[in-house]
Amino acid sequence: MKKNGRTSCENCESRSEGIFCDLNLPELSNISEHKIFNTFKKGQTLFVQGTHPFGIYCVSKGNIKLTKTGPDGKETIVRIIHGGDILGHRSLFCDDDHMATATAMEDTEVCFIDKKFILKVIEENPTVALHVINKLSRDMGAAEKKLSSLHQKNVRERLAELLLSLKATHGVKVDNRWKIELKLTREEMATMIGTANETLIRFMTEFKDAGIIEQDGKILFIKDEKELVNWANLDY
Amino acid sequence: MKKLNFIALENKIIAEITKFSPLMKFPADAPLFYEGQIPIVAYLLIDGCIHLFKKKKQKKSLKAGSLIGYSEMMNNSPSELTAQIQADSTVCFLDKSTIIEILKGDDSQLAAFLKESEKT
Repeated sequence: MKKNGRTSCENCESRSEGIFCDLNLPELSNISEHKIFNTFKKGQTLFVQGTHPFGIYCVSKGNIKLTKTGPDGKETIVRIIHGGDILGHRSLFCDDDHMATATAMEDTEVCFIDKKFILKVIEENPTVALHVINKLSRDMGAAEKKLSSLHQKNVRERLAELLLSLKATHGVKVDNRWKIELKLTREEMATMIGTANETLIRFMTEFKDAGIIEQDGKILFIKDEKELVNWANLDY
Repeated sequence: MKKLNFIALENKIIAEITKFSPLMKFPADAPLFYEGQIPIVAYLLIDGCIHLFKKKKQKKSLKAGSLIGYSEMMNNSPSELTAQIQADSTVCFLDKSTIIEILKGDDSQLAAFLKESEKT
């Protein structure tokens, strides 16, 4: 099956945000020829925790959640990956198994490139390596920030921080509000800030009562971003 | 969408393939690919079981020595079945780059076998 215009790297709607953004058209065409394009329906799994990584996944459209299952069987959302993002890039530089399970949160378009090929691309185009390093550095920064938040901030501050981070990655400005159409369950949000369901619900109510957020089913709206920043206590 | 190919291999070919890729064990049940998707690697089942489903109904179970996903991956052809590997099964995988290397490499029995399998 020849790759059509919609699935080629040259025409990818996330091209400008991805690790291949600096490549020229012939280089992109080479990747297009080699990669494997797939669509995942909501709930389908890209890879499972504890299995061997085969290469990297470039998310062209949709959202994917990375969940880690603990010894008690409880799932924690480690990260949410969106269009333009990559997955499995850690596997390029180490042979560790996948530390989490990747599941499509909605119908998602993903391209897969095997490890040998991507390493060859990196060898020939050092800018790709720089973009991967940049991505790894940002991931590390986010992980450190999350760790310190869990230790130093209270649940109210952590929830405000989570809403701001979801706004930054998935928010769409609609009139005077930020719409976050990620459709996370309360349980999923609770695991993201390391708290119990009941506690999260209590604080969500507090945020709503203060006029900072609104909810329409699972869709969240941020009404007062300035106040949310205050509540997140971002200064430390 | 073409019919999913699964090929039962001779021991000689299995031994050749395992030289190119380490064995990996699945700690839990895991989907290898879903109906309508192109497999991202080809899987050679060394030990255990892979179940094949169509619209959630089980159609077949593959046993050790079966190679699946090869022709679909090389031809960019979506599979008409979902493949689910059972916990504790062991596979050897071949990605596109490795296969291209093998095919370019020489006139080995494995290269000839892969060339022939790609057409099926």
